[in-house]
Amino acid sequence: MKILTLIKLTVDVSQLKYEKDGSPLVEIAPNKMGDSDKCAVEEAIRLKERYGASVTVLTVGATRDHERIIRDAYAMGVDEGYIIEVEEYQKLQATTIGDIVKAFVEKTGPYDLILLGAGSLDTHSYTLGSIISSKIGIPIISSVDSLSYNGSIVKAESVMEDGVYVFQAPPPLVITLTTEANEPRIPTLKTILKSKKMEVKKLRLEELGVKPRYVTIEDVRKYFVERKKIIIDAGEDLEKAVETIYSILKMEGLVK
Amino acid sequence: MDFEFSEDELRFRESVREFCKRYIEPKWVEIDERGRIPVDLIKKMGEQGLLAIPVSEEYGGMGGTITMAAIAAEEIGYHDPSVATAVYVLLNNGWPFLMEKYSGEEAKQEILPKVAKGDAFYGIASTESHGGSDVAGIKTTAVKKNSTWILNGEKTYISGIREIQELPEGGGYFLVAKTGKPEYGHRNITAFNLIVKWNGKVKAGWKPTIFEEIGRRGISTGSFTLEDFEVEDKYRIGEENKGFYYLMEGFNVARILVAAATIGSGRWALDQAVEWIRNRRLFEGRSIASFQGVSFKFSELYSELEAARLLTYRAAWLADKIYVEKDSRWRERDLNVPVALCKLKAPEATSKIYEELMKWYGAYAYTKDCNAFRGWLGTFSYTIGAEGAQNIMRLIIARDIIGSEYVKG
Amino acid sequence: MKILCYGENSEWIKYSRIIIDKLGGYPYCVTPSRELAEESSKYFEETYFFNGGVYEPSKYCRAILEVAGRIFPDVSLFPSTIKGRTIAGLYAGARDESIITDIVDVDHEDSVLKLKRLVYGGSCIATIKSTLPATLCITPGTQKPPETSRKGSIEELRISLENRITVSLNPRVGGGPPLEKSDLVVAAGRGFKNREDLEMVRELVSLTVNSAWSVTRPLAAEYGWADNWIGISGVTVNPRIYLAVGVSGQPLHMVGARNSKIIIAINKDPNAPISQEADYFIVGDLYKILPKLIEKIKTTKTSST
Repeated sequence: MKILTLIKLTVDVSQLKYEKDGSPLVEIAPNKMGDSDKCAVEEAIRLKERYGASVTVLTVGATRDHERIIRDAYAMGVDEGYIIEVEEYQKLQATTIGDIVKAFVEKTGPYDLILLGAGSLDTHSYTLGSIISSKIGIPIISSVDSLSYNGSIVKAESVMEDGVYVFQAPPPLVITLTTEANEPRIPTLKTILKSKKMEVKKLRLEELGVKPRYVTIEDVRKYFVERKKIIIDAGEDLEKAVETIYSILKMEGLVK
Repeated sequence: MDFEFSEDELRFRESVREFCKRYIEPKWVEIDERGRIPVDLIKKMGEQGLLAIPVSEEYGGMGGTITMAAIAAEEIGYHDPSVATAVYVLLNNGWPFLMEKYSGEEAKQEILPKVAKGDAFYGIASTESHGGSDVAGIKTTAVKKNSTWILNGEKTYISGIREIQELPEGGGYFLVAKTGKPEYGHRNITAFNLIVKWNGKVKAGWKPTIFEEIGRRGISTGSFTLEDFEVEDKYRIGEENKGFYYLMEGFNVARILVAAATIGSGRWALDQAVEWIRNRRLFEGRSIASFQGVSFKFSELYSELEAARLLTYRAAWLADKIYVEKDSRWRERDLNVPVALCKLKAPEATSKIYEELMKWYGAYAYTKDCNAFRGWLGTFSYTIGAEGAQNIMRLIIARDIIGSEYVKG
Repeated sequence: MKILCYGENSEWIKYSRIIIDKLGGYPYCVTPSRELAEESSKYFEETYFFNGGVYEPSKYCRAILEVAGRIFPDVSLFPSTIKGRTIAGLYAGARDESIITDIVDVDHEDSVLKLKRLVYGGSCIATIKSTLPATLCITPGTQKPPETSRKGSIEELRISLENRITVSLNPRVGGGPPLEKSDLVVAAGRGFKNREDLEMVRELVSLTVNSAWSVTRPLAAEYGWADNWIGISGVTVNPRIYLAVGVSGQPLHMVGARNSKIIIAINKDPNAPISQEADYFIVGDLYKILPKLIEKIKTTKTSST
């Protein structure tokens, strides 16, 4: 069994700071492997442990942090890792990433499973999995909260607003995972020291024959909603405070 | 000169942080409140490889460095700012490390893997009721009969008394006792692996008592008496009558880790302070950070903690040069002053941060809803003496820099 | 401009019509059932439908691509939901066109689209330009176009929906709506002293329509009082009313609540940061206010029945 796992370098949104004009200081914010991508890596390694799969990870970008997240994946147990070097990786269109993965799979595949996170907190689109599915022509199961495999059939559950969907299909498949899917293992000092000698392989877009297309971003600003800021002192007038909350609930038709 | 952590060290720090967020942060208040680190957490720390970091892999350790042990102590101190969990971890890193260096093969094979797994505790038993700073004056005796030592005496303010009783295997201590005439001072002290409970059974002649402490309550402190307690000669650590020197080496390593743990707690307190002074508004909605009385004080505290942190990692770096890389340019005693500097500075910087943080919080800090007091009381323990009194640190520095002949000990 | 909309549900069908009017285009809709096609025909000139059965993205996508192959849309609209995005990704991948999700506002200059989308966990808004054709996933809103008596054409698609993936659905039973779908979200913060006191929150939720409750991060992650929390590392909600009780309003929490239409906060600290982010800021003791509010709802209910 061959598994390809895609990982994205994402901005740690919880540590994002802003300029005075509200534009985010993305360049100085810490980066990390996407949370749900990490669950995809974990799922791949669990399959490796049970079925002896080989696990390859792939990321797109050209910074030292990209190499770092490949090594993070090595410390979790991944066998080999590739970086597709693109300078302006943050502005790549999702469909171009689809082209990259397609070309990569043609070069190194085929893979039985392509696993990736359902989305990232930063500039997520939650569509990469299905773009890849379309381009490569293998089916997708998306937003999987729980995955199992019996050696021939993948069974995946996804919780959506109208209930729990259960998808079943044999590989090959593209599967996107949510952070509910598992609790990723934490590398130990031993696995960290062991993985440090592993090689990180690099490919350029030209080697894959992919022409990049970019997103045109005009502006990014802190999102701010102006609020009414009406203050009611319940210490002075408890009745009035309760009445205010009640009447708003009533007005919105939310009281049974 | 290089102030950068290696990529392995950064990745290791990140892994410890993740472990802490998952297993320690959600429990730290409960650990302090109930006065107990859950046994399953100790086991988890063992599985994660946080105990016996600088111990060789052949004895179940991680084959890591003192710097890595310091990183673990700092991160754990951040996520359990009462520092109880960090103290458990640092004791079970520092003393097993020293024990490996000087113990016989059989004792190492028997004891270290169980400590590394979190099934047994291994700490330090040196202090006696006359005062911990005067090691040469200890009264516990060890008398050799054939191939067995008979120990009698009392040790007090000893960590891990309850943990040894609760852990499945048990555990013991790096213990020092007098093995010759008292007038020989520190030159007649021998170190032993004092295993008081093993394979789940408490040994005869060990009588423990547990104290009620005000801070870092998660790890127990108490005393014990030894009455004709028998220790086989194979558990002796190093050469007879050299125990004092081994103990001083052990203190050097342990003090680096104590400094790192209190720095972790101090960093947590500073982070709480930043959140608070940014968001706390007074006098027509001014953030209190906009008052220089607050922001300048903050900067001062921040600089003190950073200074302490640099001193701590400098000492850890030197310890690795000496012990891990075995760089012949330095000797064990070259660590004394760098270690004393960080142990002097770190707990005091942290105490000051807590004191100021609690003043910024105001009345809230004086309620049990606010958890700052847990960090304050926990780290304060290292300002008033644990792991070496602050005046001993001053003495070490003064003797070295001014000269022993001028400075009376 | 020709605009093709995937009509996932009736609320979205109505909202999408507002988006289409904003872009000014000729509207087509594809729905996965005849019922939805009937609904759609009130708002769309041309509607196509297929009998989709239980949702499975690739077969749904095949039907939408079938229509796209006939009409050559400039813009294709999908709701930015889990299902909508998955289908949209397949669709854009097959058509090799750009796809933008989480769009909160649309505009265009000639044949260039100007789109606003949320990024960085909802803490920032980005303005993006896109050429045509493009696939857009729009965050569904609740606005509706005026009712009309118009009835557009309806055509059934006859295409094979064979598939390699089998799928079954266990519909949600009871348990209230998920947090993300609730109209009223009650959030409990550190102002609550004991776990048992959350019973007041549960009671309030039981007395209100389409409501759910959650907590701030410390209550869930540090104390274990709830399974989920609202905020950047937790759940992002977008209810009509967000009632924050004993919540101080730390930025990382507020990111999860900012999309709420109305924010009401109850807090005894008049300086709590949430005072700056609330429409109604009730300064007072939650232990006095919540019981009174519950009592008020209960008594009004009995007196009116």
